Amino acid sequence: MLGIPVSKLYRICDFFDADPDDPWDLTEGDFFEYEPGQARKRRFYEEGVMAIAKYLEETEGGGFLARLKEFFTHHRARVTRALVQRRIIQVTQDRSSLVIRGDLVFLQQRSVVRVLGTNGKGMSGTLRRIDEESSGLDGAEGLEIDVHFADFEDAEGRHWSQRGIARLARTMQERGRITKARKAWVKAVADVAEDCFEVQRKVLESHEARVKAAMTRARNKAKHCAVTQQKPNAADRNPIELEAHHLFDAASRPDLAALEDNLLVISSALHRNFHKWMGSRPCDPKDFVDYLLRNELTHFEGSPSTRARQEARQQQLMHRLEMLQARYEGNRLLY
Amino acid sequence: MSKQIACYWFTVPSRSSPKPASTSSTRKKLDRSVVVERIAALLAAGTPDATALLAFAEFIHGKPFPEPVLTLTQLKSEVCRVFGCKNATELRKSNEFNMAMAGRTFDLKTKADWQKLYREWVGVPQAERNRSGSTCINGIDVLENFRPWHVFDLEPSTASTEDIKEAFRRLAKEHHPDVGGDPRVMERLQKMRDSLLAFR
Repeated sequence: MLGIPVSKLYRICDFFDADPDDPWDLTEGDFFEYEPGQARKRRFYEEGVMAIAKYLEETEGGGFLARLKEFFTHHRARVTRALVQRRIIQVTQDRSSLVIRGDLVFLQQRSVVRVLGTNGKGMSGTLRRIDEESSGLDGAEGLEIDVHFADFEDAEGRHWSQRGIARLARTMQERGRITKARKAWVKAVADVAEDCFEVQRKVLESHEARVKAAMTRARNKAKHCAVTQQKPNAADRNPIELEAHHLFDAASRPDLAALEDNLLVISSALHRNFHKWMGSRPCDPKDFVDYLLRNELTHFEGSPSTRARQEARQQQLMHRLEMLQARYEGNRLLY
Repeated sequence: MSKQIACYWFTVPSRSSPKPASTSSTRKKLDRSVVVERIAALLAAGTPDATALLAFAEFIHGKPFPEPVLTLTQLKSEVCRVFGCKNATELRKSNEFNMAMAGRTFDLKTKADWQKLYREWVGVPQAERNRSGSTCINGIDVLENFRPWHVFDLEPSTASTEDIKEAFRRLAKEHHPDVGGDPRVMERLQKMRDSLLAFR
C-alpha cells in the first residue's frame, strides 16, 4: 500500500517504538494490533498506516526522486485520502447518526470522536482550547449552537455540523497536544470529510422519495386487502381504498421503510383501526399479529367450502409476519 | 514672547471610552508653552513607552489616529494563512475551507466577504474594536462577531453556569426590546448564553 518492503516497515516500527518521548508514536490498540499468537506480526489500523505515511513523507519526502515520483503519481496522498474516506464511510453508514437541518449535515458526537481519531478526553481538551482561543478578540470565534453543534430533541446525544467538525479539526491541528501522526490524520479528515458528507446527504435526501416509490409499487401490485380481501371497485358508492402499511414503523425503523417486504397492503379502514388500537407506540409485525388475533379473525372464517382456503391464507400471512419479525428485530440494516 | 507652533489642539477623546464619531471637536491653537509643558510631564513620568508617545503624538495631532483599516490583500493573506493556503485561488479549492463554509455561499469577490471570514477565523480587526452603538457590547458589534466570553465579560476557565446566567441577565436588562434595546442584539445574546451553557 505504501510501496515499501516489509524489512523497511519493521525498521520504521523499531524507530517508532525506540523513544516514547519523541513525536513519533505507534500505540498498540490505537494504531495497530498484534496478530493473535504472533508477537512480531502487526495488523495496522488506518491511523497506523497514516502515521507511517506521514513519517515517510517527512523523512524521505524531501528527496528529489521521491518528490518527483509523488508529484507524478500522488500515490501516498491518494492512499491516505482513501484510508480516511474509508473510516468516514464506515462511521456514516449508520444514517441514524446523521441529521440534516437546513443546509447543514449534523453527525452524532460519538461518530465525530471516531472520525477524528480521538476520545472523550481529547474532545474535552479541544473544547477547552476553543474556549480559551475565542475568549479574547484575537483568534477564531466561539462555537455557536445550531451552527457548529446542536442538541436535537428527536435524536440522541450532541451532534456536530461540518462547520463544527472543521473548527474542531483546525484547533486540534494548531493547538492540540497530539503527535504528528494524529495531526496528519485530522488534517486528512478535514480534507475529505465534506465530500463524504455530501454523498450521505444525497442518499438521505432521496430516502423519502424511495419510501414513497416503494409504497406506490406495493399498492399497485396488490389487487386486494391482505386481510379483508376487499377489492377497490370504482362502481361502489364508497369504494375501499388500499394503503401500504409499514409493519415495522417507518419512523423508528427508517432502515426498513423502503423495503417492500416490510409493506403490507390493507384497506384504509383497517389501517386506521390498527393505528388507533396501537396508539402512538411504534409498531412491529408482532403487534399486527396481535391485532389480527384479537380483532380481525372473522375475515379468515367462511363457509365450510372455503374454510380450508381461508385458514391457509391466515397461516400464510401469520408466517410472513413472524418471519419478518424474526429477521429484522434488533437487526438494523444499512440503508 | 513665545514662538507659536503651527498646529492646533482639539478635545481628544480617550481610547478607553470612545465617543461616537459625530462628537464635534473644538479646534484650539496650540502654543509652544503648552507643548513644552506636556513634554516636561512626559519626561517626568520616566522613559516614555509606546503608549505614552502615541498619546503625545495624538495630542499634537489634535485627535486620535484612526486604527488602520485592513486592506483586501491583508484580509486575504490572513484568512489564507489560517487554512495553510498560499492565495485565494488555493483557498477556494481547499476542501477544509469548503467544509468550514458548509451551508453558506461566499463568492469571495467583495471585501465584505473577506471581512466576515477574517472576523470568524482570525480575530476582530483592530479598527472594529472599541466601538460604540446600540449593537455594540464591550467594544464589539455583536451582530458581526460571535465572541460570547468577551461580550459576557467572563473567563472561560473560571466562569460557572450561574455566572453565565447572571451576565446574561445583566445585559438583558440593558438590551431587552422592552427597555428599548435592539431585538437582534437580544436574540444574539440568547444564542450566546445557550452556546456557553451547552458545554457546562
